[in-house]
Amino acid sequence: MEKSHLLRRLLLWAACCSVCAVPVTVCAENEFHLGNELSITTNDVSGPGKAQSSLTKGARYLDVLNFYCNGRSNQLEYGYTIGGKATDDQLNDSKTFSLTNFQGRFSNKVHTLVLGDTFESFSQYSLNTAVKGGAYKFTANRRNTPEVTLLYGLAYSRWDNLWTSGAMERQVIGGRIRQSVGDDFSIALSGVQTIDHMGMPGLTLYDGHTFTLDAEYRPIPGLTLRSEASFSNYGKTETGAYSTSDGNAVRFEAVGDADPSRVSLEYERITPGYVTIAGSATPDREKVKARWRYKYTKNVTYNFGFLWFHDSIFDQKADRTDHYKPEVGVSIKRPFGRQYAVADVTYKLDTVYNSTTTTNDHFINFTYRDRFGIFDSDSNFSIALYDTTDSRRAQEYTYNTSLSSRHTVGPVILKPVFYFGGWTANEELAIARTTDYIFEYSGGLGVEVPTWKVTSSWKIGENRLLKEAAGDTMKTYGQANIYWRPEFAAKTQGMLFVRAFINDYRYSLNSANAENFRENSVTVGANFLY
Amino acid sequence: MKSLLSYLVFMLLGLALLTPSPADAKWWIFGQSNEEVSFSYLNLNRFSYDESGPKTSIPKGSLADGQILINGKVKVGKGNVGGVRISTNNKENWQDAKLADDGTFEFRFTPDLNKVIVLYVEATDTVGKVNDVEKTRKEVTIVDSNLQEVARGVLDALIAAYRAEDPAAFMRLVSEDYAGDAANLDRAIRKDFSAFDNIDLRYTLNNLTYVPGGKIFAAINYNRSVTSSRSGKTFSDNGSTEIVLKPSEKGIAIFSMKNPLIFGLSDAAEVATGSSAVSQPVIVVDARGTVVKVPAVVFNQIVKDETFSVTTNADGTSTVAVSTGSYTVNADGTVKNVTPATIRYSATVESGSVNLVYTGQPPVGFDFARGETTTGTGDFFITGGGPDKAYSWIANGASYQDLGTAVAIATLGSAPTSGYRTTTGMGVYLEAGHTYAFKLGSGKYALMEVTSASESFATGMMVITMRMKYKYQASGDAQFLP
Repeated sequence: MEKSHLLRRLLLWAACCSVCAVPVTVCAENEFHLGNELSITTNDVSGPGKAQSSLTKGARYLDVLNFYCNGRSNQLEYGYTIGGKATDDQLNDSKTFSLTNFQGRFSNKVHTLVLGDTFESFSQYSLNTAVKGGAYKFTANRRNTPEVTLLYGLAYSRWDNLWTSGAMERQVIGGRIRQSVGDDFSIALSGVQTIDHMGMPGLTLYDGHTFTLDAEYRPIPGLTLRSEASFSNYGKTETGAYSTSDGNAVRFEAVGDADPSRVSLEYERITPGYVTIAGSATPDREKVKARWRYKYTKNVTYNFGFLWFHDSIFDQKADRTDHYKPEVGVSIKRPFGRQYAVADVTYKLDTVYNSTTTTNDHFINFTYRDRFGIFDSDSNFSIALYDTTDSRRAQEYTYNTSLSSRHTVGPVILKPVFYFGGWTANEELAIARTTDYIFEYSGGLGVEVPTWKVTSSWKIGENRLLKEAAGDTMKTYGQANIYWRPEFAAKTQGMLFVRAFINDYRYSLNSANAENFRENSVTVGANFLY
Repeated sequence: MKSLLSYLVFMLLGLALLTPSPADAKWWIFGQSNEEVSFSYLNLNRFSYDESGPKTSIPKGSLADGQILINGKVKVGKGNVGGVRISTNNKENWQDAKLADDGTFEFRFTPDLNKVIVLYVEATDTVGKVNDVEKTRKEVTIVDSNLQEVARGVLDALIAAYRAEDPAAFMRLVSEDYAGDAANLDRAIRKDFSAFDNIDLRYTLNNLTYVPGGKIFAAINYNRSVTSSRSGKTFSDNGSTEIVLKPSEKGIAIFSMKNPLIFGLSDAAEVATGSSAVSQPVIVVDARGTVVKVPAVVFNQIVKDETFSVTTNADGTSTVAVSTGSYTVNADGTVKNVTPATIRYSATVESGSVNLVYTGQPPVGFDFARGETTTGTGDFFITGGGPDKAYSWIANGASYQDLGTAVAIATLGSAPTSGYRTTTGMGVYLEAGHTYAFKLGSGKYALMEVTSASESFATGMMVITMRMKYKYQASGDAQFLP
């Protein structure tokens, strides 16, 4: 086991390193780009509650470097991507140095080889994750010749997992064959095998495969029909016990897009035993979804939606749960004859039902955007009504408005913005009925000097959470961001920046103010792209 | 209250229905044209042809299947629609679009990169009349944008909308065929905004991989803090997760997310389609909007159960009920106690005793995850020593702290979650009788008790022998007991 694990990693690494075999001088004849961003952040966290902060105290650096190269040699097009990250802030990354991207791509339009970071377009059920490995694709671009894709790799989310221990080693082997029949119909068959070679105690290991058939048909302009059917067979090792499961998943979708309407209908059914480790699916679900967007007039658009799904496909659970999520909305341009106005109204319902519990949550939202004199306004009012049997009954009201404008004063552009928002929540089922409030207000100013290529934004504000049955929380904050593209860095699209913020958290929960804390942060940095 | 609100909603809908509409304003874009041949609507990649202006650039990565789609509907005054042709090279050549009987048409082509495409669209009726072709002239350039910048732009916009608690702005960046259903994510983020206040969320990219014209896979490290609207407490956590973006009619939009989620925590069971490995405590939200931070082992159980509940206790702890029992957790995500007592953190702990003997180069080390002695590598390795101590180097990415002499790992319930030190350019003495905690490069924890360390020159060379007991928590929790 140990030797084969090492051999897999060595072969994979050797294949990926082959991208480096091509002399760098080849890149010099073509096109390459180098991008880098270096920033140094100094954080200061103080106060008895500083453990609640998400900042790392002290001075930390973060550098992100990326190198791209594209070129052509006779009929062969190629490209390389190498990227890395360096930081001494464990909250940015536990590794000081890490490889973030490593890929070589070679293609003569018929044969395409990708080594390193690999992600291929299989169907959603079969493959929806990237691997560290390689893929080969054959595209003959002739009518009766199918497109073939082969893939192999380890499903690591980071390159360091390849040479450090402590991560699940998940091998993915896949293949796809796709045939187009005319211009309107295509069908594809894909197979993906997943084997967990090295797991960690307490984690579930899988080994098995999925086979998926997917098709797309466009019978008339504006109408697209899609279907996907998948079968899986997997073994699972959990807490030392091995079991097997097999299942299937099917989905049909029809999309009609011809103004004034866009309609989509979808049906999906996934059995409880269906497993796809490298793809995406939620097992034990049957679902119907419909959406209709209707442009009633040039200025009025209606949106209707409905989603229903349930579990316990084979009645294998003691209690089946059904979910209903209908929604309706209307968007009106130039209501009341106002030239710059847009109004949106939506109503969404979230119902969950089983034999013991019923949930009915209502969400109503009104948004109105308009221009009043020199100010652009954006206002929102929403109502959320929560109702779950014996668990929650609450009403929440959210309201906010922002006013912004733009003024040119000589070479300077000023963009003031003011914001006020609030939230009121009534909780009825708590032992003591309570009403809580949140108020937030802020003022900001954007300052741009185009001749100097400087943009900046400044903002101060306060957020107050006022709780009837518990302590209040108050956060006072200030932010400043300054970006400068100096002339001397124009060739490299260079930019210098400074970002700073202060957050001051105060709590009334503990009379000794044990949870108060303040965060001060300043980041200076530079980036360029050559 | 509800009936009043329902009445208000239907009143507004009724107002919209009664809004006066010009006779032919039911059709899009080209409005009240007097031309005999015109377009009811014309789209470029599902966006209005007119709104993109006479010149436009399109990122290559945003093209579905790498193709540009032109579609629309022809309107004729007399007769029928005769045909629709598209030119992509400034009228040098024309190609027929696929045309239906009702006048709808579509045309797809694969553009060359970084080349200006000059488009014209020509429609004719059966009596020979043609639309004003010059009005349809458009220069389109497909640019090979730095994909990192495109993906980061989308992630930055999603985070900005989430921090601003703006569901409409957020959902504009969600694909309509989101894998966990866009409606589920929409409801979940609205519930997040009820549960959270003062949302602060930052990330760095670990990896970005894409299919040309298709999906983008992003692995990220995130770091966030939120204030619970219910309790008023502030929670912070950090971890890693994976997100897939894809081109859609809205542009690059979010397609799927794995646990631990950074958006839609209130309905993680429906929003997430998969899980990443978790080694740190994670913020979770139950169905009532109660926020709590739970250790990795509890989070993994929540993912399996798909449901859980949280009760806030008077002493500031919270009790999380899952199918296997209940965990009482502290505010920092560590476990205070477990019910029933049969639930064991120790189930995922690996332990043992090892003798490390250094006799010269290469150095001898130890790999906690494998439980093996190593040569020249490992989480730490010995290069020398002295009486009662071994001189060692800590591996890059790992950190340690000395817990002192009064601690035996047999009874040590957990490793500290903070206070670790890295050694840059310097070694550290591991002393007999001391217990050390390690935070490894994988983010997981290990404990080591040095029972003895000795130095000998009996063979004429320095031999360092260190005897140690160790524990390694494979689950990633800092908790080792019970």
